[in-house]
Amino acid sequence: MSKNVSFGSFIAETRKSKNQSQKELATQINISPQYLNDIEHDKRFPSSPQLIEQIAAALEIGPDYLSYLAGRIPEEVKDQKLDQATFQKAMLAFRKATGK
Amino acid sequence: MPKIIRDSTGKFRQRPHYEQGELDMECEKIVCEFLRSLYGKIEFPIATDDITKLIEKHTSDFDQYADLSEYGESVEGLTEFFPKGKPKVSISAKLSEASNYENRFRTTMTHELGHVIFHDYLYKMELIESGAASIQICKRDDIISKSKYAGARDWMEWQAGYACGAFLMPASHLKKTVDNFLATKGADTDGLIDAVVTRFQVSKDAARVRLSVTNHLK
Repeated sequence: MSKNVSFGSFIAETRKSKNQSQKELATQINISPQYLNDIEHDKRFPSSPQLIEQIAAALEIGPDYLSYLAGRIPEEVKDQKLDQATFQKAMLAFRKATGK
Repeated sequence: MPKIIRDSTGKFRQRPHYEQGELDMECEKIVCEFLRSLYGKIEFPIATDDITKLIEKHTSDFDQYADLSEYGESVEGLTEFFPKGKPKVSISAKLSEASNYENRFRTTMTHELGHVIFHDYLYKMELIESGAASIQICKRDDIISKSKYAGARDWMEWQAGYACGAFLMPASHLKKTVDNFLATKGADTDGLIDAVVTRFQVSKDAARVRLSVTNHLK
């Protein structure tokens, strides 16, 4: 189980762990620093799955977990409040089982 | 180590009394170690973006584009202290969104950093009993401390204001700038202020105040 990690706080913490400023990440994914600041503070959500993928690529993390935090995953799975490692294992098992 | 004296404002039972030299030393150490960790060298002016990184290093959350209108028109920054964990800093979006306010954005950020560095432990001791959070609200006129006796509402604002100048214009680097200027241009107050403005990317007001409180202006 993870602590109550939100989509925004996960991005902020990952960005900070890479010694990157908000402005640097925003420039990298071609959005305004204000928009990224709002995303990190959970005031706004990324407008598209593509943007989530862009953020994930820039932060060098898998897009699945970000999608999960963004709520683009079935509610019953989201309610389990999985941490990143547990989630990745679950996704791997799901893909193996379904061949996706 | 600062002296601990009685707090006459009633905010705390006791408070630290820092000599200017103590604040200078601590602020210079923090900013120079940080720049060295990023670049392996120390160069001024510190970039605005690097100030945001420095604040993020010392806070649990940093909102650079906050709506602080509920606290009043003149509030440009605030620091929230918690019984556990690092403080949270918010800066008014009015400053961060407008390119012509960049110097004010820089001074407000370093002012709040002053509260974070020098006052968090005080709030921790105070809040640990109540378990509540506490907010230090900073108004435009208090950001740069004019002197110990004017321009700051209380000792906390004065210390944060002094720290603001000491982070942006660390004492030994400021002295080098002053010495170089005097050696090449002689005693020219306006010229010296301009040299500090250029060297450290600060406003004329911030440069004048910093030169004045560090006794470089007669």
